[in-house]
Amino acid sequence: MKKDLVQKTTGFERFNHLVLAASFSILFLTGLGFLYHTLSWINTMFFGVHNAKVIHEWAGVVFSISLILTFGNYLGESLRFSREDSAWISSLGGYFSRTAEPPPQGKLNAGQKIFYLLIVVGGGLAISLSGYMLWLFPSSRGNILFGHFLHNIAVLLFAVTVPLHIYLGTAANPGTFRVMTRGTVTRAWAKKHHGKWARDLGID
Amino acid sequence: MTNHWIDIRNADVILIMGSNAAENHPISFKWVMEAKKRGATLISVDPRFTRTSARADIYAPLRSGSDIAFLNGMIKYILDNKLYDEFYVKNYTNAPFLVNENFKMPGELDGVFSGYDPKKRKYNKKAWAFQKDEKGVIKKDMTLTNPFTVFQLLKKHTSRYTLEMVEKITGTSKEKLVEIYKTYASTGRPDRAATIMYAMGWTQHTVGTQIIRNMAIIQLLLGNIGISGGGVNALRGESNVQGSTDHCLLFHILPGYLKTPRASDVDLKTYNDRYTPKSREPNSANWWSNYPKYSVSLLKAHYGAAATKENDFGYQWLPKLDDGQNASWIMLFHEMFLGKFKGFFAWGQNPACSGTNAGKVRKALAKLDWMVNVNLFDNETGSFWKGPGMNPEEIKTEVFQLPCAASIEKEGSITNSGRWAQWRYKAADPPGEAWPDSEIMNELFWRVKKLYEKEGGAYPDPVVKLAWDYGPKDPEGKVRKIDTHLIAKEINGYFLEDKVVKGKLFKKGTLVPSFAFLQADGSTSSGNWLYCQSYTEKGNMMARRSKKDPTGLGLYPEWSWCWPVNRRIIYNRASVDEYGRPRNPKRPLIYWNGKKWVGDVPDGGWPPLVNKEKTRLAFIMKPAGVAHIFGPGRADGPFPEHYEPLEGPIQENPLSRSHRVNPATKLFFEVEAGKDSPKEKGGLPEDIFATNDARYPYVATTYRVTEHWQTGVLTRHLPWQLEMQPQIFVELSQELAKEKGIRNGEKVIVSSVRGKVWAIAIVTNRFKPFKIMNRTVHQVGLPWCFGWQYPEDGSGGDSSNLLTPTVGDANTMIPETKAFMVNVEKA
Amino acid sequence: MALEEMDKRRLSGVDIIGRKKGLLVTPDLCIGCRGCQTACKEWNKLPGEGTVNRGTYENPPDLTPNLYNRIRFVETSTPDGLRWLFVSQRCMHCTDAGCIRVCPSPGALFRTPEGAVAFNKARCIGCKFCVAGCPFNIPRYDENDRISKCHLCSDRIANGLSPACAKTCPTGAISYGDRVDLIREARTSGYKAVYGEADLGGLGVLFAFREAPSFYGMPDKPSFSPTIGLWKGILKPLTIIGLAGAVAAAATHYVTVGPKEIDEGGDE
Repeated sequence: MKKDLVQKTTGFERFNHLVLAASFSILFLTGLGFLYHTLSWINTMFFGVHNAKVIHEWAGVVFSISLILTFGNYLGESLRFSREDSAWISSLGGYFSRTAEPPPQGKLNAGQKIFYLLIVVGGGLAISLSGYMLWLFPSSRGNILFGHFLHNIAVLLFAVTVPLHIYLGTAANPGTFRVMTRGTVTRAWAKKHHGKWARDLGID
Repeated sequence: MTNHWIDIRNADVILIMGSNAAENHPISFKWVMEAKKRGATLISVDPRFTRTSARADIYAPLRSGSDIAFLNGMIKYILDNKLYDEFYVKNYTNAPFLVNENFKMPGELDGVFSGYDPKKRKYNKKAWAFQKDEKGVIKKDMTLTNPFTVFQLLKKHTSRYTLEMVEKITGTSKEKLVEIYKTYASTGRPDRAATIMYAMGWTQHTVGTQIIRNMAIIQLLLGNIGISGGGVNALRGESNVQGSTDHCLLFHILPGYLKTPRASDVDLKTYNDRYTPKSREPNSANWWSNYPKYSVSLLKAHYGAAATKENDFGYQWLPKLDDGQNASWIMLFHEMFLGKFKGFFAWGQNPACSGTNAGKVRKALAKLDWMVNVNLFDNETGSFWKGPGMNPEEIKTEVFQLPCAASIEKEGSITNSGRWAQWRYKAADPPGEAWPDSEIMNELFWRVKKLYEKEGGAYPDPVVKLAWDYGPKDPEGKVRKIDTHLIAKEINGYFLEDKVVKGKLFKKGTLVPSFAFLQADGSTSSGNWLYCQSYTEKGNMMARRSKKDPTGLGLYPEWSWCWPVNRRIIYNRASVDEYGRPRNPKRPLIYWNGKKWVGDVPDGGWPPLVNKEKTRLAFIMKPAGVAHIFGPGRADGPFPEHYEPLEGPIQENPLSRSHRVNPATKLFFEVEAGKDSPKEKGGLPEDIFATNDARYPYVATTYRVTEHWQTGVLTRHLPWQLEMQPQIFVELSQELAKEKGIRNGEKVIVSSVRGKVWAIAIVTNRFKPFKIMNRTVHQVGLPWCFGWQYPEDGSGGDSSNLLTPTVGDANTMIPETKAFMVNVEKA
Repeated sequence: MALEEMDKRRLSGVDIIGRKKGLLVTPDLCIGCRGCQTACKEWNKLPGEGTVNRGTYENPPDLTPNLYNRIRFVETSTPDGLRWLFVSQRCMHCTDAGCIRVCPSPGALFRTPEGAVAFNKARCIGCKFCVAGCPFNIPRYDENDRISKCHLCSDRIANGLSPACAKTCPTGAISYGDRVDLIREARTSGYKAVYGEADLGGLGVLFAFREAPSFYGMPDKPSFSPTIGLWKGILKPLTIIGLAGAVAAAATHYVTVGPKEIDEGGDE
């Protein structure tokens, strides 16, 4: 490891994130094809609507397993709230100012914690469970109606937050993208974005 | 039918009784509902609330077998309230006729009419004779007041059928009786018409013929016969029953309702004299006086050139019945049971399921040496030897199965209930080795004829002399292929020589234009005089398909052809007044324009009544020219009288102590006078019956369902039909089910003293317990469309005719399958 | 191309009402002969299925993938006496069809030019959403998990014939024609309200009832689940708006506030 780099994520973590992101993308695209008949060409690209359905179903299985595997990595950290978190929230993560900065953050900041808990875990579980309901128990009318409704609420959540998540992980914060690709960040990046974590690691 | 299917739409009141038209004649309901749309009232009278009842404006239940009480009650109501059509009754019926003064009725003779011989169980009909003057003309009283007029006798006879009495016998409430009587009798006016649609629910009783008579009397009193929207309309149970009856399906008639000769009809003259009615009535056309023309033309059609004047036109070659012999269905199987038959052709039928007392029928089949089963499918008859309770090893009967073509796999005519002969074309070839019936007969005829020619035999002439010119022949003389058109033409008839009739010359070999041209001298042939005009030089009239309807009454005179001479409503001249004007201006069926009749084809072209000289009365087939309110030709009385079914729920006939059942009907089991329980050693154990017997306490009836046809041979093989009606069921009331602890949908055993079947219980409010003679009487009903052979797993059940009795109507011997006694128990 | 065409028809479902063909079912005329049940099976080549008598004439007990049209037999005691009702159960060909709304596979359920709701088994993905979307519980699934239901004999009416059930009905209890004519016909026969005239944008199968629909076992006010409306009316557009909004917000942020650059020279 180059001397000025810090390890942020493990190989497994990155691999699982990739699986989650890939399965999500497939699910999201085929889902849009099902939801909007004007987008049905998407499913044509997924080898036709029948194959798209099978792909959607099995991508869902991959997604839900991958989702559970994220728990070990983030659930504990996300559930630990600290003073920095409320400060982060009150300053809106500093994203709406060129100058203001939230106080130094731990390994995950409040925004990440909230995104993980509400969207990834909450939305992910909702969409997985409703997906299984629709897939495995279609003969119950109530199942279909409720499952369908829940599935689509989760879709709405993802539709709004996932683009922001991608933006924040890439263009909005230069140097962040490598967290999920190479697993290492620069010391400067670590100090700027997760100062508390950096301090705990002995980076001054 | 005196009228026809479409004419039902012209009725103001429709009574459906003794039939379940919605279920068994669904197409008729096209016209019933059309009539209702035009304001008609539909009445359904049935022991059970049926799919017909579901559409009725008025529904009334009655106990099976009590129809005559119901109808005589209606006659009493009509007479008491003077609701009859006086003009009609006086001019078109025998109501004014005087009956001899010694004539007595059941009210006076404890249940029988004059002339009854209890030993022979027969009437001497001379006791019912009319009074005649010195010229032999029947005496009449046009005021209808003389106590010996038919009218007054009818009044007296039916006076015993009070509402209270009828209610006690039928179980129908007085209120319903009055409601129905009033509604129906509202058509006694000339501008209103009522029709009756009946079927086997009326005929299949020991008093079946009299039930029909009963209704005919009502229709005559109300002036409802010969008019549009009226009539007495039998709904035939099969599309061509009318045709097969016209062409002598039954033992006692030849084609065109000519009589089957008896042994004592020693020659043609005796035969013709005996069956040609004579009438001294001045204005009677007495159409049957043409009898010899029709019988000789028939013989010429049968035997062709071999029939000559010298040999009585081959009269002696006709098969003859012994005097007094009855060869009806029940008797055939009775004799078969007694071992008197060697062989049997079961042609297009399934007696092992359709025959009354089917258990006896099945045993009878085992007494045969051989049987030929001609059918579309194998059935319970062809396979009787491996049926329930049969040991194939012990059965000697050799069975031959001949597959035959279905109706759509051959060309020919069918005659519907409305007497319309309609030509049908072949739609498909018969499958495999199946042949049309005519080809099977051709082959049989040829081989039998060959055997007679080769071996001689007791009496070869009837076979070897038979004319058989139905198509081109091979060098040996066998018809290569039957041409149905040649059969149709033979039925119509030919001129056999150049002949001048009615001032017109007809060339030899031309087709006879109508039966009015048939001759008794052998110069014409006609295979069935009634069908003469069906296939003429103008072409095949039965194949006509014009939708012209000049009267607007739905007669469609150029659609197919109907007998007689394309008359769509028979006795139509009874629809006019003495001047020939339509009595119902709303529905003018026919009228006299001063020179001729316009409208439907009239019953003869004679001028109306006002021309006292030249007129002929409307009912041309009756010797006196008028319709029979008093019917002196029936075996069991000139008026209908209520008798209980052979098996009934009550000890005695409430109307007469001595005669519980029809006194003129043949009983297979001796009956003890007064008690009417079967006497030991009285008959075959198979023919036993049980009346007013605690072991069999429930009245039962049988019926068909829309989803299956007859015994179901055609429909039980159709998964679509079987899906809708998969199993035999018994319908019973909630009350009876509660009493017996039977739950809806569970299997029960229905048994009579003769046999038993399992059935699925349908517990329903559509059956209600009756109050009969102040007692609660339950009735149940079950269909007879199932059989043990198919469905193959036996899930359908067996025929309900295993329960029904060996007894028939006094006139026709049609079995009494519509009223008998059973028990129902949880399986 | 064909699919696009179908999709257009499907989407234009509400507009089609004016030229919609349909059936008028009049139980008052029905004699329960079930000729329609058989004719339907015959035309659609549907096999007969094994049944048992359950203590009623009504059979089979429910619609199946091989039974598009079924007559229900209902015995009811009323103050005027016993009534035996025969009521056709089948696809109602709603104008606002819940099944089409929820179907995720374009062309699996589609609107014919005559306004019927027909199906294309080849396009069906077997998700059964249409079952939940149907207010009348009609769609059934065959052994290959493909939709099966009455399609108003779309193959017959496209060729100028009437549906098999109407063709065979002897009493006119099921009659086929222009929807507007059928409504007029029912009115002239004295039926004040025609069931399905306005429900769900107008049903393709109308019923002439004298009594309340519930007397015949039909929903008085047929409607599909509100969650379907919520989903189609709110969630679906909201999702697209949300997605577009999120992307737009990110872009706006990038160009206005800008990314959080890291000062590499910083404290190090």
